[in-house]
Amino acid sequence: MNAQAIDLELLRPQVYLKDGFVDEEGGLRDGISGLYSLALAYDLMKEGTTVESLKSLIDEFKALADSGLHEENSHGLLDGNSFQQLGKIMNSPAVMNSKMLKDLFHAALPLLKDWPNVAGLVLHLDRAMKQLALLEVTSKQ
Amino acid sequence: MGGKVGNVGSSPAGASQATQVNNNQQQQPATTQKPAEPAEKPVVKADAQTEADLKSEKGMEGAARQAQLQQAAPNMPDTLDAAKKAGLKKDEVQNLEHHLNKMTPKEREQELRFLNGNVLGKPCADRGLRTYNELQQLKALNPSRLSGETVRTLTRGVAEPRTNASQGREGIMGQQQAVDAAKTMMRMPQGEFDRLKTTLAQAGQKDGKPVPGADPYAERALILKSVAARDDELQSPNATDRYLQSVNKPGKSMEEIQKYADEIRGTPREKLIAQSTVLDADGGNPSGMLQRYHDSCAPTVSQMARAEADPIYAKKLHEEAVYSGDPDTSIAKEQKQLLEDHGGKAVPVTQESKGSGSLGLDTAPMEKMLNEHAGPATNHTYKATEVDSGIGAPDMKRKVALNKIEERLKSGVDVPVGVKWNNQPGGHIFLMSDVRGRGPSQEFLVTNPKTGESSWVKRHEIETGNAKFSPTGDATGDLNMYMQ
Repeated sequence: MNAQAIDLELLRPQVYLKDGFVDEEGGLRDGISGLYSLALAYDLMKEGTTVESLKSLIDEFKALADSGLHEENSHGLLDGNSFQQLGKIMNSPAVMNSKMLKDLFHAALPLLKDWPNVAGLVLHLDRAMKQLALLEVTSKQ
Repeated sequence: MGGKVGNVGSSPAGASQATQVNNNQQQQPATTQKPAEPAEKPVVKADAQTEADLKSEKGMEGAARQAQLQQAAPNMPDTLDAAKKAGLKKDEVQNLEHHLNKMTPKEREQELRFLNGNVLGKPCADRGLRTYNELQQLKALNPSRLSGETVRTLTRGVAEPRTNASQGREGIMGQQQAVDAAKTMMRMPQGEFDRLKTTLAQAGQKDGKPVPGADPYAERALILKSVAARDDELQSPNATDRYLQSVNKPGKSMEEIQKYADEIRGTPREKLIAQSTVLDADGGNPSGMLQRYHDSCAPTVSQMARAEADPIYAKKLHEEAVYSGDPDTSIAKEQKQLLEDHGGKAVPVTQESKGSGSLGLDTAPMEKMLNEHAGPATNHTYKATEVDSGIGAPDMKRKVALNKIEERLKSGVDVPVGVKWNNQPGGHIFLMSDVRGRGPSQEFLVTNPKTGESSWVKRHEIETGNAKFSPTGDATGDLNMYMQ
């Protein structure tokens, strides 16, 4: 088996998000729910962000979907209310207390005009949370 | 008795024998040997093929099928007469006539062939016809979501017996499940509907070619049954599912269904059926799921009811031997959790019960457990009803209870029942899953989680309050509770 060495330090949101969260066909871009989320999880662990903190952030995104995301607009733009709510999430303590999350949101901000990219961000965070949970367990062993 | 169903799960006179069955299983834990197959293979083939079916079966004997199609088409009066004889009421026959009259002559001919070939003459023809009537009404509301092909698949799923044994006379699904599946298809997001359509179209095929020995109809019926078991999640996706759908991914439930469809694709019918139930559907030789603890009859019945409603859950249970008393398995762990989370105490059947503190569930916690564990899949809210409550003679009360149970069973809802043993303390929980016949000779299909047996029990014996609910052992009991 060949293993390719990957420098996780180079996997920064500013780099992997340059083309957005979704590809031309509207699907999640490769690595968003895989290598890139793992890189994020690794950095979050290093800076001490907890799974609980990430979970509370994802819960806020779920509330955003409950109020604004419906079948009819699932591939469309965010409305004003949703955009305002998104702004509050981005300024929540869970984000403000984490350099990595601030970096992520800074890189993601120009993309977060439509629901597919918001969905990409949420699924990215969700996967990173699960990977962070695993990393926390393995790092203690 | 109060709110209790006796000391639920405590051993009846026949239980020593039953427990021995469990213990015997313990001696052979690795392979739960299934008895030899009955001489008559439980294969249910399509008697008639619709034109659409023919188109979808490229590998079939085309000439023979064409010849079948060229046979004289069944006529409407004979079909309606047969529907009446199958048990439909006058207004139901009129409904059927109304649906058929609305069709073009070509469509009507196709439907008459279908009804005569795949519904009439089957043990549950009446249920199939009622399902067909209800689905035709739904189809009229949204024909783009509910195609004629889907109506036929669901109707066959209800009408055609699972096996040739009397215990398997019921279809893959009940009327309520067929209707739930149809309504879910009508209301699910477009993306999920498209995924389901693709999944259904792939049934019985690998790499675009039919798999020899596969039963695409049974596969589709099971896929649609799993849709019915996830109706809430599919109709009203949660936030995570909506985010997933926003990037063209299936929600969690649809992903489960797609995975299941992939796993069963091309599987022979006999195996499909065996893996989609934990009851003794092939009859004669006990093979149903066993309770692993002295007092886990109610949790086991909950597992049975959920498996009867959700083939994905049933298949998961079949990753282990279901006819086994092994307390060190996932099935056993779930029973233990269901029992102890609701106030019981789990003591394995492999240990002595006396003095162990083994404890079954009271009626109210049992009702709660069923609603939490089985209810979301069966789409049914269980409500415990004491048979002896109210005014009247005991046999009349039992008769009324059995009428209600009959109604539920015919609509496709399995009914957990409590039985109080006669001449000894305690009681037991069974699952009623089917009913056949009429009047005093009517019989109810009862599964005993202690022995894994499914057997027919006569109505008149239950009405007397002294019925033998299980062929193993000599214990007789009195029906004293049922879950409405």
